[in-house]
Amino acid sequence: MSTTTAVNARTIMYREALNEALKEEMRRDPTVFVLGLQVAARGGSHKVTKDILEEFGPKRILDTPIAEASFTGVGVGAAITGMRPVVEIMFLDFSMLILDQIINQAAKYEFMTGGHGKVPMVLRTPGGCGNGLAAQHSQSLEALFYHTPGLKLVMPATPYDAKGLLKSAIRDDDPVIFIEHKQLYMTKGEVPETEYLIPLGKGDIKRSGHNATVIAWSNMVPRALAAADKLAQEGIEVEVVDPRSLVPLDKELILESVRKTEHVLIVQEAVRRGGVASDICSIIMEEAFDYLDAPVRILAGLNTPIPFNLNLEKHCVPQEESIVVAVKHLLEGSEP
Amino acid sequence: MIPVIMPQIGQDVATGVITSWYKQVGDPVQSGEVIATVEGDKAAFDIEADASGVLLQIIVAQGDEGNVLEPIGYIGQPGEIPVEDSSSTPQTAAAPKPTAPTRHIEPSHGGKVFVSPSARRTAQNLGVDLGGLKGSGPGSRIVKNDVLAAAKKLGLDSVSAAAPSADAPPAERIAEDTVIPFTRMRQAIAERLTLSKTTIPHFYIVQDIDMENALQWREQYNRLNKTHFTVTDMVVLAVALTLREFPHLNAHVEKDRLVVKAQVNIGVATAAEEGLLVPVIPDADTKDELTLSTEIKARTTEARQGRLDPDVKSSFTITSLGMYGTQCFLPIINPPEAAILGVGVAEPRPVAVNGLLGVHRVMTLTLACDHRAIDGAEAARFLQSLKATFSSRFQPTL
Repeated sequence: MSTTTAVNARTIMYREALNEALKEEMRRDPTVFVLGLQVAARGGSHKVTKDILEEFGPKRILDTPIAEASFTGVGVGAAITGMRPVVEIMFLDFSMLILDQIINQAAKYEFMTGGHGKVPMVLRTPGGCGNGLAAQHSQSLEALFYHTPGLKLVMPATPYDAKGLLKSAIRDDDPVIFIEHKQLYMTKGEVPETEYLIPLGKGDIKRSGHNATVIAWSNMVPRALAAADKLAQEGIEVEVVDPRSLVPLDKELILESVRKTEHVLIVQEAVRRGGVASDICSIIMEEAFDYLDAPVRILAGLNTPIPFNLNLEKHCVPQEESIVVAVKHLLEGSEP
Repeated sequence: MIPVIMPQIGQDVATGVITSWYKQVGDPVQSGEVIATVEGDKAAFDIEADASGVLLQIIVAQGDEGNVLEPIGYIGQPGEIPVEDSSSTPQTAAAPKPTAPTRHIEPSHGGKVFVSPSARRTAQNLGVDLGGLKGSGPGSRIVKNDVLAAAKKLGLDSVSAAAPSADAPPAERIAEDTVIPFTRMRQAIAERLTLSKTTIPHFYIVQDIDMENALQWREQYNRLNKTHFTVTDMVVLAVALTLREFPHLNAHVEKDRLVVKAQVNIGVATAAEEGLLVPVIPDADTKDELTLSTEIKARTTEARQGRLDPDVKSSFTITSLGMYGTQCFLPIINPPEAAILGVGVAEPRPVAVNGLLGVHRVMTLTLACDHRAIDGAEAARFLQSLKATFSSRFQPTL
């Protein structure tokens, strides 16, 4: 981990780091509360809200009916009145049920009240594929939220980032879409015992190198790092840049790396069409054009729903091997 | 200069034989004019010039075999230097030069030469003419490495580090401005001083102090005590003592009020490797020469080692550039303090002594004040009083 590693760090799982962030913020601020499907008694489908009911009681963590639009509306309303709700949507795919509450209400409220109203709400939800959960439980839909002004968008890749960013998201006065990844919940990493925050909008160089820049977020970060290890054995030093939050985006960090390596690959699990990678690519073209020695490349999910079959699923999104090949093509200048 | 490309003369055909060149090197050619004939397994094709000019070079000679979609010659303007080195006379180049296996060679793009943005920028910086270059990128795109190789060949890479070997990191930002991101210390300095200069209404007054007697006292004192009491130590002591009578200079402005500090804590601005540090001497007005001098040395050393105690806050700061020979400078107040004293060099200057011209060591002091806390008259009285403290406290025995 290239960011601060505290002396007293221990190794915990991504989902445990998120759990700590929630508890710490709930202890710190009585207006923080959690609501969602099976979050209280069961501790969340992904165990992120484990033991919160025991410590904070049923007024601070609410099990809701299977009615995403309604309970997200409760969250938006509570946030408007000054609470800091953390709404959990069991799968990112189900957030399609709450787009009115998020896109038409939460994202717009501050602007339509002339800056007087705030919606300090966090929407936590896991995205991505990898478990053979098929087309309706495997999507990477960050582009929908990225596209909507008024929302912040965070996609952490490590336990350290997950904890520090969730704490900042809860304290943020804007609605924050906090997309976790199913494949990352059980991954482990160092997290300090002492409290820390990671500001939204600050990216991280996960590995430094001078031959090519690979921009990746969420579950594509560990894959890009594994690919970078392989490439290093062949003498290709890849810099892995993790923006961590997509809105706000740490543009300067990205541009600085591009100016250094002059070769860029953007790796995105989401489908290629209309994705965040394309937007980052356009920023690089506008602001670092003269530094490019080859066209910016994007390695993204295929423009298709995620199939149920695990082998087909694997074929649809970038893998370690395909990242290795894409970096080589980028440097050789061969066709995509 | 543009290449003459061997056409794709049939499906699955990799090579063709040039049966005729109708032009010699140096002959003028017109765009669209047939300049050569190539023969494949099944048919012969005429090759037309893509541009007007002169035939600069023949790469695949008459009777020789060449690869499809690769250059067999070059057309350019008279006087242009052909791509290949002069050692191989084009006409005698018996066999086509084996070109590096490039995965995708495309036909010439209607005479356009493609250059990567980075290669273009590098060429401009190094003064390499892109016209003479052959691109190794896809579609013969000129990439940065082509420019660096050419620069090396032409001796334009006078900064030899600029032409990297294959495994060295590529040379960056040749002949460009250097960007040095602020360290955290620089950031802190920038923030604090911007705050000070933009929110505190500074005014300055300047006072010379005749140091002849005081410096003689210092020499005596150091000799007797076998110590090194510095000019800065003297200024700290004299300022601390004088500040007792001028509490408004030992104060902080907080929005609409003045907070007069109970302690006289003197900050001594100290140059460090990365910037500026201000070690603090608490209760400086209560300490004697020896204690004060020892403490200033200890605090300064600690500060340079990064062991500043952040809980001890200064109430007034002294900054000196005398050791660099500076006579006078206008310091910026160390916020939230109300004043700062800039100390110049104590140097021999002509002065009037009892109506006669003499040479005494004189030091110029500049006091910067927060006008919200202090007015000019009070600041002037402070310097007057400080001058008096120097002559009373540091009186040499005759």
